[in-house]
Amino acid sequence: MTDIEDRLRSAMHAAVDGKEASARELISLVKRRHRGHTIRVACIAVLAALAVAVPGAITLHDWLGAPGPVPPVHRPPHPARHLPTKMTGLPLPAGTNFQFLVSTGSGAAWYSTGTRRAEHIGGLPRSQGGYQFSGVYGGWIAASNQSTSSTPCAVNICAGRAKEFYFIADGSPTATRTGAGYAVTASSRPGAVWLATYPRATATFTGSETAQLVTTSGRPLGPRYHLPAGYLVVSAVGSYLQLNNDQDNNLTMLWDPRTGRVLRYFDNVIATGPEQIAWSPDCRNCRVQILNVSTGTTVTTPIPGRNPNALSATFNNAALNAAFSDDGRLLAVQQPSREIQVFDTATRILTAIPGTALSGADWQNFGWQPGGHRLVISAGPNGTVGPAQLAYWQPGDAALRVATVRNLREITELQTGQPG
Amino acid sequence: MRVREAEVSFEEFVYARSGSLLRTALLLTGQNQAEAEDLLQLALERAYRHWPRVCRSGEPERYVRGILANASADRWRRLARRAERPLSAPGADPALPDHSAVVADRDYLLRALAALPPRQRAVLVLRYFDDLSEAETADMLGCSLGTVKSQAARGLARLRDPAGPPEARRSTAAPGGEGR
Repeated sequence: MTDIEDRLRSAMHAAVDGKEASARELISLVKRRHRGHTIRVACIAVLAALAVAVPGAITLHDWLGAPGPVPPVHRPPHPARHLPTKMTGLPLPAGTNFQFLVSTGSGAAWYSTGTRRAEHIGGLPRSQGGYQFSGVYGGWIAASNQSTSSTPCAVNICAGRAKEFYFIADGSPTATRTGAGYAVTASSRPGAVWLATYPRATATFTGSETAQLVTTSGRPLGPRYHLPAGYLVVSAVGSYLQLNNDQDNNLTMLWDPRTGRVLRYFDNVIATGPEQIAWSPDCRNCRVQILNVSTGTTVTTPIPGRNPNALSATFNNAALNAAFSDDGRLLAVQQPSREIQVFDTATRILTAIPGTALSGADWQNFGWQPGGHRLVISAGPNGTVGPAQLAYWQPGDAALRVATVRNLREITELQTGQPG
Repeated sequence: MRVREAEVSFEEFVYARSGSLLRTALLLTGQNQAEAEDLLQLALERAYRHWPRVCRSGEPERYVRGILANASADRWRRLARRAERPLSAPGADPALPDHSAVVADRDYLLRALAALPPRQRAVLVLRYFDDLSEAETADMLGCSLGTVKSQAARGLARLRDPAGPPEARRSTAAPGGEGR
């Protein structure tokens, strides 16, 4: 026995010894698969019989002297890729309930997948076009979708009139007014958000935004800071503010509002957590990196970064979408293959969630349940109102838990709502 | 332990041998849990179709392992068209903790094993994990004894090569599917 054989044998045993399968689940899945196989075989037999019988019948029809018009043959284009069109996994346990924050015709509501009912959220004024939401610590900020007109400068560059912002705590049936301004963004402090404003009729790419830490009910918690000209506040990472350049969204800086100094510039930030910032450097063979501002450590993940030579974001393996769990420990990323992967910043292990890769012709949303480590994923076909899917995964799960959603309203809420 | 009872039911067989079969499937699929479970379901479903005949052969486990090994090669051929998983050589990733030499060596061997052509990998898994003889491996894979010998020698040579097979050094994945 040679050394390499011993080493290989020992490596293989160390890797998989102790892994067990759930026999009961396996038997049930195998039998279900077998039923699918039996149905497919039956369908093929029927099609084969038709293939023989129909031309025979047409020939007989022609022979009898009554030829009919020949219908054009429509052949769907052969799909270039063979990625699945549905997520796969184990059935969603009965009684699983998820809440989605959804925009209604003129307000907002909590939609429950367990009861298929929407609970109206009070405290929001009527808004034509409903509301849009952004996640903050412990809840969501709602802003009216109604456009602010009569701005004295060009629409795209002018900060425009102040908008009203409201805070909706996770699961709360009422909203509270946070204040009026240009934007409200998350802070890393519970119960606090950053309220950004501009002087009237300021152009965002030259003007200086101001940002003030306020409670979710609008009480100031600190001074009003003037940001560097041309930069907008996007979120807070620890005690720093993440600022994006108004002209180039990929140019980001972490800025210390107390000293006015820049901690660091970043390319292509993909997500921020309470104290984490993840970015995808623009260089050959780069990996997504995560900086923790409280410890000062940078972790290089195994997730591929952007390839500067790729034709577009679609044709390289950069993370298209990413989201940190509320505690900043887990980072979920989605790559162009649509497979969702989760990087654990504590153990530094990247886990590909089985069954989440989908064809490019589908929509897929994901988000972490507030305060937890359960990733809620919804998906469905693009362009048609077909059955959608609702799924979840949490660390330690070997398989996704998936349910098919056929209720038309629920499909819409899953596509547009936010898991809350 | 091999289940050799001719009258064993499908359920009894799965309860007795699913763990061992899953471990083989894991190695055949490069330790991809989801792919391994899917491969195992596929193999068991094919066996379930003809279970009375499989039982009469007296060696249902041998039959299922044969399907596992042969189906894994087909599946990997098909999956090769899909986006690959990121894979890096040991030490290339500064995020990884500094493992001991043994752990690093095992990690390297498993990555290199996963990067081997599926037929070579199947030969190595059957020979050194399932402890089958060369003749048994050849019988299971439906190939000649000479093929098993040459595939095992080539596979081991590639694992022995400190530079590793080219696939194990690849750090970025192939273009994936279309985004939204």
